Amino acid sequence: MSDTGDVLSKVQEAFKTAFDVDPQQVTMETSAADIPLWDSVGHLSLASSLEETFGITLDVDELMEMENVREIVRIITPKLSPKA
Amino acid sequence: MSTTASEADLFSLSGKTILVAGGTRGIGKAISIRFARSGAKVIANYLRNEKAAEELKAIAAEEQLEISFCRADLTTDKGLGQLGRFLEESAPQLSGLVFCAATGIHRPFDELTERHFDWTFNLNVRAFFRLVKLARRRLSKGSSVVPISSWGATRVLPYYSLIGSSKGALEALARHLAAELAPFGVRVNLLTAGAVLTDAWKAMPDSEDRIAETIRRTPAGRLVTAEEVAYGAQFLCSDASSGMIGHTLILDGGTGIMS
Repeated sequence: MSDTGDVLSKVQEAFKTAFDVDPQQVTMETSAADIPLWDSVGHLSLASSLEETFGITLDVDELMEMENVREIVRIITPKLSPKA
Repeated sequence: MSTTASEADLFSLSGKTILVAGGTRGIGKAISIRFARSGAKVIANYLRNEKAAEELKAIAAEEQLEISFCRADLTTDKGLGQLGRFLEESAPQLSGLVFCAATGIHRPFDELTERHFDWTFNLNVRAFFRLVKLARRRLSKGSSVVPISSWGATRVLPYYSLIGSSKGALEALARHLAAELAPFGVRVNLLTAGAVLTDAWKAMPDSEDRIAETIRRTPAGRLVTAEEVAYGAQFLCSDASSGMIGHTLILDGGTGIMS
């Protein structure tokens, strides 16, 4: 799975799990300013939810780069691509 | 007994420049506002939430409070570099540093991973260490460093093993710093806040039940407010607490004295 739409759809699931928000409210432009619970504590809940949803691991540097959904999709997508 | 003007001044933060890390939301926001109202020039550091920073900017503008803002990730070289440059330009000398930035994950031990550990300790402990390193030469004689801790550092709270242990490490580090920096006129004291109703609570499992249980066990019969915690932080950063070094000031409505 590496299509941006598919990735976004699963990112929306992860947001639903972490913050109990309507998945349709989560777009590529969504940032912490749009979701009140997305603070420093919420960020770790989101990261855990993303790891579990996608079956990936995120290191500390990646975690800190995830400032908005677009960045999250950018970070996650290469982890899903089949190795050549 | 009346209070003289000079005695009242001891509690004032007028003329002080104080950095509040994690200073735009929850307890940090209350501290930024309280300090500025008491006359301090406040630098509010934040990372994620521009909207919260904008709201604080609006309050500062309305009340003509001297609060400046520095968006910087304290866990990265880049972020610390940004903050360092900001301080270089706007605050060559600091009178105080309050560390409110914190994160963590609320889960049973069996569900925690090493990454959860790294994520939590990276901000709650390592960033404080690096921030004090960064600010060290700017901390003038008579300045005050105040990390915000929680009961989880010394008591067991549900689903709190990682955050609690990180706060324990933060407290130990702060006490060592208190002894080492005191000869240079830099005081380090901890502030432990009890349960304060902020957005952070909403991220906890069973938050409503836990809030109700906390209130039931609190002699004050209510949670402490962020503003009350901010008054405690003001005291620790003021000259009125000049005799306090390595102390932990507890503001919890009395919860901690109960068996």
